[in-house]
Amino acid sequence: MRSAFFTFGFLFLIAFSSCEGDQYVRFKYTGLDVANVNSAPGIPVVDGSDSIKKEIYGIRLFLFPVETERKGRYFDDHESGVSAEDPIRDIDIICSDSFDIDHPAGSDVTNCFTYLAGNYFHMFPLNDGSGFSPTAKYQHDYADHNFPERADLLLTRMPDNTAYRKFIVRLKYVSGYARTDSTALVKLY
Amino acid sequence: MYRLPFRPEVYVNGSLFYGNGSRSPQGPWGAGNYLDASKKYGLKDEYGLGMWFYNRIAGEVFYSHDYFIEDHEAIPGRVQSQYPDYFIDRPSVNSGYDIYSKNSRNLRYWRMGLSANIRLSRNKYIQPFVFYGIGKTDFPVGSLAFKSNSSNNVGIVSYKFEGIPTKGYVAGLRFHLYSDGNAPGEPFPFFGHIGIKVEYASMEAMGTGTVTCRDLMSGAEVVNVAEVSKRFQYFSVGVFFGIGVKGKRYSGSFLFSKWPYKARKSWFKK
Repeated sequence: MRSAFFTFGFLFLIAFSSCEGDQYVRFKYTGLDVANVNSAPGIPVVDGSDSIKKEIYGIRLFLFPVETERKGRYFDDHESGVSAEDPIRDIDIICSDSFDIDHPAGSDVTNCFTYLAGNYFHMFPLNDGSGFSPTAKYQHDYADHNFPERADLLLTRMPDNTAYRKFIVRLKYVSGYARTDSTALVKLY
Repeated sequence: MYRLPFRPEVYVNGSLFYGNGSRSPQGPWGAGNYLDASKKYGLKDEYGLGMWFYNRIAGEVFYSHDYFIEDHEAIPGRVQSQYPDYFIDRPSVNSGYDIYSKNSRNLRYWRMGLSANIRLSRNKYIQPFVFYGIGKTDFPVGSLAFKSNSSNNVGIVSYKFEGIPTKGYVAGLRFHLYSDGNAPGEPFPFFGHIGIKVEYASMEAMGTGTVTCRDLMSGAEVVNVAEVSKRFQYFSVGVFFGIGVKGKRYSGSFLFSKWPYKARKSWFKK
């Protein structure tokens, strides 16, 4: 009788412990680098050339996330929570040169880009009032890489000239802090 | 009152099958390759009723459910080979799209036909059978993203081929073992039976489904009707069990009579 009691109690403890298995993860952004990419291969790749076809042009943001906390036993793609200590709230993209008739030099061209959230089923137009929230949860390797290490922004509105230009990206965080970086000069033809 | 020389039997069957299927024709936006992503094996369960006449010939009807094991991971690669100018992306686990859910193609159909009794011993029989099958096939629903290699445009293509009319034939053999009959006059009306079955099925699904293309940027949507014609040819091996009804005032010799059957006057007495 006593051994049965302890056996059941032990099994109960194991069952109870495994109920809180889903992990909870926190991270913080520690930097920002931007680079020109082209999407010809499908998944965008960094392109160091000084001229890129405008129809496949994009900008990659390297976000340098660092894990600060992880609790729980396993990471579940659906149930686990991932949050940033100071999340990104919004993004501004400034074009150094005239973009088109609606966007002269130095104007905000954020709404000319769409955020590719790691999967072509999830593309989010920027500057439609919903802010900018990079995420890794739509990537195929989300279980192994739980927070966004990069964010790809694809050009979806074309410039009307082929001048060399660079794009200045400013990320604004919830705390009010901001980080800025710019791409290399590139000719979009 | 006369006792009629027939008895009903109920079957429950579970099987594994292995086979092949012809490739579907190439529909719009990779529909053909999308439909051809099954592996060569699957599971079957079926439930049926047979009515034996004079212990020699049975008319039988079954409802079958054949589940094909799908190779979902292979679908984008197969479609990619058909569309080299596009990058084919599949939904992720958090996408909310259905391609990588557990749905699988399945045949659900009625099969009707005849089987015969070849006596091996008192309660063991070999039973060849042949059935005509008619029903429907559901192919897995799902979606793929097509991203052009020459632009940032993306189209989401969704596939739906459900309830495709299917028909064909099935033939095979059953090794059938019956429980010993009770002594004459025993009131218990049922007997059990188990067995092993091997069969060959050739079923063809022919019909139409829809392929919906949605431009992710503009939201424009086009629905295409696509034809599907796919033949499933496979062998299956399975086990079955069931019960039969002996009838009132059962006589053991009625069930286990030798070939050729001879009606005995005593069996038809009150």
